[in-house]
Amino acid sequence: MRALIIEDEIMVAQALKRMIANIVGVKLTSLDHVECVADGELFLQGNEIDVVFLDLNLGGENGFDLLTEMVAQPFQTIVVSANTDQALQAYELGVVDFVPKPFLEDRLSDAIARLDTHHALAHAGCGNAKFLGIRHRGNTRIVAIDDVVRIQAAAKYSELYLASGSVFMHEKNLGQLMMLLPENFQRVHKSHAVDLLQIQDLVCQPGSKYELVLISAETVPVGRSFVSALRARLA
Amino acid sequence: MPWNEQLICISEQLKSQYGALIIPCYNKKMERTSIIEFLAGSLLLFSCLLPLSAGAQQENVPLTAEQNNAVLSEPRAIRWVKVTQMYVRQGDDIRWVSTPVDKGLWQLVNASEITRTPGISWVKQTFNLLPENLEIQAPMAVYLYGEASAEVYLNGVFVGRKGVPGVNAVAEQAGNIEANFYVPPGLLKPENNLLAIRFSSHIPGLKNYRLALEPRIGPYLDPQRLRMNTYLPSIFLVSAIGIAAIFFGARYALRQNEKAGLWLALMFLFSVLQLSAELYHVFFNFAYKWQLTRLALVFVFAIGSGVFLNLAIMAHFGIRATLRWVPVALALILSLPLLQGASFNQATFFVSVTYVLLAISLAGYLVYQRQKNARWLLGGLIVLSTAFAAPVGRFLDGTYYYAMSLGALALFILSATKLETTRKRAAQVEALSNRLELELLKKHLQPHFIMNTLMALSEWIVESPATGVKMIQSLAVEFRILYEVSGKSLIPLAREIKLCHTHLDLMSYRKKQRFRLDVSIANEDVQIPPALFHTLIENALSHNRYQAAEIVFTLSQTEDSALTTYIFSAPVGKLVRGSKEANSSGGVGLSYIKARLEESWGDRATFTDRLASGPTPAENVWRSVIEISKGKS
Repeated sequence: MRALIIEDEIMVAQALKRMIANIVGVKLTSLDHVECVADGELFLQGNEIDVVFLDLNLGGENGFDLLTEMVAQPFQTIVVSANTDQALQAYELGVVDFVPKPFLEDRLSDAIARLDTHHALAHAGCGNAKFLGIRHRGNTRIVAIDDVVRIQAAAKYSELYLASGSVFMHEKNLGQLMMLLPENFQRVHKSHAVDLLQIQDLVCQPGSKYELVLISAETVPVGRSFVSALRARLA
Repeated sequence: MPWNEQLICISEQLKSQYGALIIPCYNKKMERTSIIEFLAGSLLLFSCLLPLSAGAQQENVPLTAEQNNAVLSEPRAIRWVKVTQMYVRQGDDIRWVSTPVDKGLWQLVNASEITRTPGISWVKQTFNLLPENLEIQAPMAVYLYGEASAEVYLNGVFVGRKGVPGVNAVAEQAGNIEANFYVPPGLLKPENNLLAIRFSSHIPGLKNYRLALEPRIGPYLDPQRLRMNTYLPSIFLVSAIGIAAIFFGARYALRQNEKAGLWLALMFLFSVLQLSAELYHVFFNFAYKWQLTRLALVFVFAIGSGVFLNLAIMAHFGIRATLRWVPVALALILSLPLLQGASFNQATFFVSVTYVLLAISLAGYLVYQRQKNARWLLGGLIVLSTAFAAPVGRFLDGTYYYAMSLGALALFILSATKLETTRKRAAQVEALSNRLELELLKKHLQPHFIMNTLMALSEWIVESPATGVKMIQSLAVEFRILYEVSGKSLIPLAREIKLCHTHLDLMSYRKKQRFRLDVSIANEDVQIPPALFHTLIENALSHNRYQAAEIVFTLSQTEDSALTTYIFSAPVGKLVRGSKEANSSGGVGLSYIKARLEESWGDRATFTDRLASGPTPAENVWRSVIEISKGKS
């Protein structure tokens, strides 16, 4: 795992480093620390990471903008903050976890455990996000998850298909997104996830190929190994 | 023009003037004065009336009530022949009571400006009675006002004396300033009556002083009732001005921080004194020798009133203290005309005009400076100055009272407005003070401070328990001091510095850096609002990211006779994102500082905060300067 800590409180950063190293153990391939977001952005231009531990003083819009920018990027975000009253907003914007300060190693360990994508692979969305930040030509915009009909993997990114017909590219992969999306999103294929509320029918094609017909009349293939879980959700 | 026609002409003129004075006085002008003054004035009037009615009983009035009422019920008949020019001759000859005037030997003079000569002199004049006086069968009288002892003869018959004229001060028995003489029935003819007065005046005082000897002939009236009729409005107005003096005096005694209030009270006090001295002769007769003293008092009081009027305006609008000597110095210059032989009345008039003009030019300057309420002041003063259009005598006897009362009314309004503003501001400041206390405590309970501190502490416990214990101590001390000072509006400077050191200790543990405050204090024995510099330190720490191992803040205090100056400098670090506005004057911390300064010192404290360049860019500092000017305490 490659992790970055953005934290201006040196003692907190020190605690984070010590605990993360302890929790992740040998799987930890890189652990860096910067003091501010500007330095963080600089670091991210030259480095790929899996997770950022972000100290967020969500005082005003700055905090909101900053978080929107962070969650649009191809890594997961864990907020480590003193301002617990901002937790709900942070979850809605799509962070994996919100760890209130001061924290113990156990709490941080829970947060890191939520990064493990395996349990989300065959299942429903397990996050609380209501919005997704999307980076588009240098700007960050926000898409309401209620407007998203289905998601399709595209190389290491994802394509969001909206009810309006628009398609947006998200820098996170499908597995990362599933961890943020609410549970009405179901993974139906290695490369597809849909909003259950948008499903009209599950059709079995010759050769045991399954297909979903959406309200919008689009069809989405269903992976063989995903059928039983999907059936259970639709029942 | 023959002299008797001239006299008629003069008397006609006087009739219209004097008549105009009495009747409209309490019909129209009284209504124009404010209700407040009326109520206040009537209170004082009551106390004024008691001694006056006592004084009335002492006069020997040979009139029956019916006679008096008969005259009073005929206001048309209350007219006087006022003799304003007379023939004067030095010397003493009893035959002059009836001989006609030889214009070669007798000299025509104004009755109000008779040159004093040693020994005894005579004045003579002929006059016709007014038709109004002839219509009703009223008893007649000669009134005589003037700074002389005199015997009065009408058509060759002795009608009375005030004092006994004498060739020198020893031989003379000084008469009262004012006297009235009952004229036996049948003595006066409709036309060509001869008035002759034998007089002497040995008034001590100014060499060039010219005396007045002003006779008038008219119906014999109860003198007190007559005076009351004439001067009733003046009593009201003097009372109103007196109320103003008491009001502003009491207000100053209660709240001594407003010098303008004191000057205002003194101005009204001097006005009351001036007008009382002016009115004194109306109600209390006195030996004519005191006349000069009385006029001198009027003059001095007029100067006092003028000086304090200007001082009050200057203090109210905060004009430089050095300029305040101008009105005082002016008093000396204004006294010069007296030495040149000007009459006291003229000098007093001149003084009033000059001070009001000075006040008007001050007000004009203040309007130019766009000072609040200055327009009202200017308007009021211009209205007041219209009173000077009246002739000197009329001004001092009547118009002046209206002008002063109008001025009092205007100042009441001005003062009430200011009082209200002050009260509102005090209420705001108090509300602010409560808010600031809360703000100060909240700052330390807000999660960003306390949670980060606790997180750092828990990390120290893992890394070095001994350091953790020290950090707990710092945190405890800081909270203790904050709790102690947050409710106060001023704390000793030493306490504030202790708070700063403690906070920096705590922050040193939290940031694993060394923070230090270097202090240079000229006078430690002063009080400042709580957490002033503490807030500046917090601001610097939250908006700058410091990389160096040791960070030094400095605080210096210098003092001179006028100013106490605090300079706080914080090194410039890497700017924290999103906090650009915080180092300019808009941040929360800085508004806390400004509010605290305002609360304790009002306009006397200033706060500036800016980036100051050092010898090298690396040595640039955020420099905050607090200046507190030493006001009048």
